Amino acid sequence: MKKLNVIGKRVRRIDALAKVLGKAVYSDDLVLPHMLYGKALHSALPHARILKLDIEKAKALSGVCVVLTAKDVINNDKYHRTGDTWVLAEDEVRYVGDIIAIVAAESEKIAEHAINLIEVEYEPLPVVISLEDAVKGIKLTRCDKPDNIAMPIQVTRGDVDTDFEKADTVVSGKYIFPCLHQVHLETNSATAVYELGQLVVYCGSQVWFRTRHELSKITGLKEENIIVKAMVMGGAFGARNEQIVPILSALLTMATKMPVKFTNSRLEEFLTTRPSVGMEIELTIAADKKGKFLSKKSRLLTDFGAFTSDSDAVTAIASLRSDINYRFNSVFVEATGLYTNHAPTSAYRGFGNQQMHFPLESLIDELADKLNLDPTEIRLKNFTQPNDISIHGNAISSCGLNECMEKAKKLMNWDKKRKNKVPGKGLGVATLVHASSSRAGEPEFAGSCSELRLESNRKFTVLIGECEMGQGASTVMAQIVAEEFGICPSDVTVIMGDTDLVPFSTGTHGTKLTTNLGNSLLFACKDVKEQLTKCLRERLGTGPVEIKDGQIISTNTQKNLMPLSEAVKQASYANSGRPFIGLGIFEPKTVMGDRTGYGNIAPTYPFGIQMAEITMQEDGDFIIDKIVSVHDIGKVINHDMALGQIYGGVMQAVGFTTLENLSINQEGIFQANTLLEYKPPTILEMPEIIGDFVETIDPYGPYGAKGIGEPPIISVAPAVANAIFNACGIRYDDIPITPMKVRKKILEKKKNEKQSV
Amino acid sequence: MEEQMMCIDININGKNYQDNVPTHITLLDYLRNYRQLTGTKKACGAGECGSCTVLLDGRAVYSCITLAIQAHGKHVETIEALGDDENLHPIQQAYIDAGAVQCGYCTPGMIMSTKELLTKKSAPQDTEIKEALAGNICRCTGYKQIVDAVKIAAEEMTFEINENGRQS
Repeated sequence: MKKLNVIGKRVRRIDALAKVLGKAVYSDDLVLPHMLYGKALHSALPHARILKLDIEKAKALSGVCVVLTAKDVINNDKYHRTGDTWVLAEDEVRYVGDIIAIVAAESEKIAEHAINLIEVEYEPLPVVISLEDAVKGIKLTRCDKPDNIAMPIQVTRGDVDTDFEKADTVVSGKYIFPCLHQVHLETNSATAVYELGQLVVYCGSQVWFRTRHELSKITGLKEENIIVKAMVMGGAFGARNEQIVPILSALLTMATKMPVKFTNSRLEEFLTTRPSVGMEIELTIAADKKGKFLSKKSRLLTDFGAFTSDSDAVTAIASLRSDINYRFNSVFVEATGLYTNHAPTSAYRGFGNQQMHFPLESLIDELADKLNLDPTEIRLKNFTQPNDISIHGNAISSCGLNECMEKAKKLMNWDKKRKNKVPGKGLGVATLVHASSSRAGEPEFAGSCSELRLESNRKFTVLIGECEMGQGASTVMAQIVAEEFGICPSDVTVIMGDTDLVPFSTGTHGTKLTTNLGNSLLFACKDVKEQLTKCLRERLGTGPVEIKDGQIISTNTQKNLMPLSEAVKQASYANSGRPFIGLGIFEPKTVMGDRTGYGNIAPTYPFGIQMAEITMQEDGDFIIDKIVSVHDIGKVINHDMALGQIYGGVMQAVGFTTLENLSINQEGIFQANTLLEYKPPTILEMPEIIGDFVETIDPYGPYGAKGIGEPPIISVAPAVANAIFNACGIRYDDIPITPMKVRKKILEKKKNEKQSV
Repeated sequence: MEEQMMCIDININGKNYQDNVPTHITLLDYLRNYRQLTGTKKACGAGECGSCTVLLDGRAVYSCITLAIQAHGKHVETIEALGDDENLHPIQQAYIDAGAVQCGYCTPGMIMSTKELLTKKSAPQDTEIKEALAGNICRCTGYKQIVDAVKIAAEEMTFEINENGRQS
């Protein structure tokens, strides 16, 4: 492999400077002349018929420019790909937060006041919150659905019955993984302007083109008359795959012909955005007496909330993805997606995968205990290996699980600590797999496209349709261009978004950018190089040349002819000032899952090992001392940023494993609807986190790289739960595992022990 | 909806201003909407996340739960006061060097809390760093590289002071 100068080296983020100066412009920072402010009226009830809606007082308030209800939205029922919902509720509300009316006014305060003047009369309807109630279907979540079932999946691979008959050991359990909130720190905000028949919406999004498509469907404008402009984004974590705020601001600007900003409050974020899909999972694993896995059966009930957002795809991933970790002979899975009366659920970093890894990795731990095997040993016996085809058809081009385990054990000092066990201390381990560049989006296709412009002034601009949400993709792209041309990454401008400038993209999801987009950008670099060298040859008579380290080198004499900057200028001027515009397309050989989910959804798969060490006190108070998180992500392109993804993902998982809880009550209200109550972890909850990598060089990734965006959040929860078992002999099958829950079980255990004495 | 107004004298980032403001508006809204200082961010509006942290007479405060009129006669320092692209403050440079910035939304508030800490304590221990930043939520970084940044900044600032011979 050729020597790399920028890839894998210490490179600072190209967007950090603006951010530390406070000069990065986020959506709510934008102010336009004569701008109005939008606000929404949300349903106060989880399920009800709207009997009366009176907006007259609100309309009459001085400073109010427009009040819109469902009747004013021509394509109100065309919202979202699933067509399973509406923009504004007309006859029926299905969750607390369902939007009934929107207002634009001269100030935010007037808009808020107007919302309070809208009168709604409700007839309460039966409420379904628990999955158990939903599955019974006695009470309905929605009047338009005959039962509460949004989606069934049933998949059988191999001969499950025979494998279970052959098994020496069977373990099973039931696990609960609640709905979680992504809590990106910046609340959703959009500013829309409608002028001369053109709609421009300034916002953040993971899916610029899906947003444009939604805007087109609902406003009735053609897509070519809509521009979605990218603002700097304060996090997303999957939550910005779907946003209603750009649509609301667009409707208001079209009704008033004035710019309208709509910014969610934190409460609105909790009530109206899309938390993760809660799940109840029953799992059974069959193994032989040596600990070789034979088969697995799982039954999932998944909580869609009031309509199908991306919860169908999340349920599919939860059902199948985690099986890639191991060589199972057979599996059976049955999943049922259910409607309930709370906010619709959708994507969160890991896309359902962290939900299923919790039961799988907890139960494997139980199996190891039963067979008296070290938890690392039982996993090593069963790991997927390079070049395997998984039971669901995933082609494993590279897999460093064995090496990850070895490294994690060393970093944790696993063998020594297991041998000399200190009372109150516990160690846990869990495996993880994810996909890098999952096929997804609307329309669905596998690839990515990049455009690279090189101007006469030597300025490199990358134009791409995916997004920078804080993960660092723009820096990775700048590094690739810098590597290929021998320049400095900070000399590359990366434009991500702006639907009138960049190539179409399905969006930013599935740990896709480094692998898919990175590859496409490599092709774009090649295209620019070919155009430039051809031009130098033909117009400037240089003879055959190549570009190396920012210089033009003669292929024949290996002599340095001129700096790249000079060559670009001369070549451009010799061609009436043309820029060199390269296009790169990468189309991985992936296969969308068939009806049963069999297929190869991604070109490559990242793997990892999570280990946790905890200290348990007698009263059940425990602290996570250390997390070791080792990942096979192929070639590491930017070490500091990849570590940042590990630390951040692990910490989010530490949050939902031990603290976070939306506390949905029987009225469908997220009782924890402030940051104080929801409890995203602060710096005080930070354990020691050791992140590391195993650099398998993947044949399909650019420079051998796979992605790291989602994996670190996966399997921290089971690693911690297994460590708690190791410390005190108690298993936890629902998260968050709070000290209060642990204390309760410890007291129960003590009581039982006393009674048996 | 009659608003009670009050005239405030306020020094922001070294400049004096006189403004007639509604008595109910927060210091955060005042800074963002009256003074166009949008580097200070709003994320919760309830004093829970620290994105809006500014220094009020040198003390880190949540500007979203501080009224503008409470800053009357006082000095306010925001992220815009620290440095510019050609002359970064050592804390800003340290946040870049340590990889402590991801989405950047918490960054201005984090930097202001760091500034208060390092003004009071030139070489803080880990526990002191954590205590000083406990009121600032970051959802991206997992905090580890932020702690690294504070340590780098502390060293850098001590070094600068030594170079100038002001403090040993």
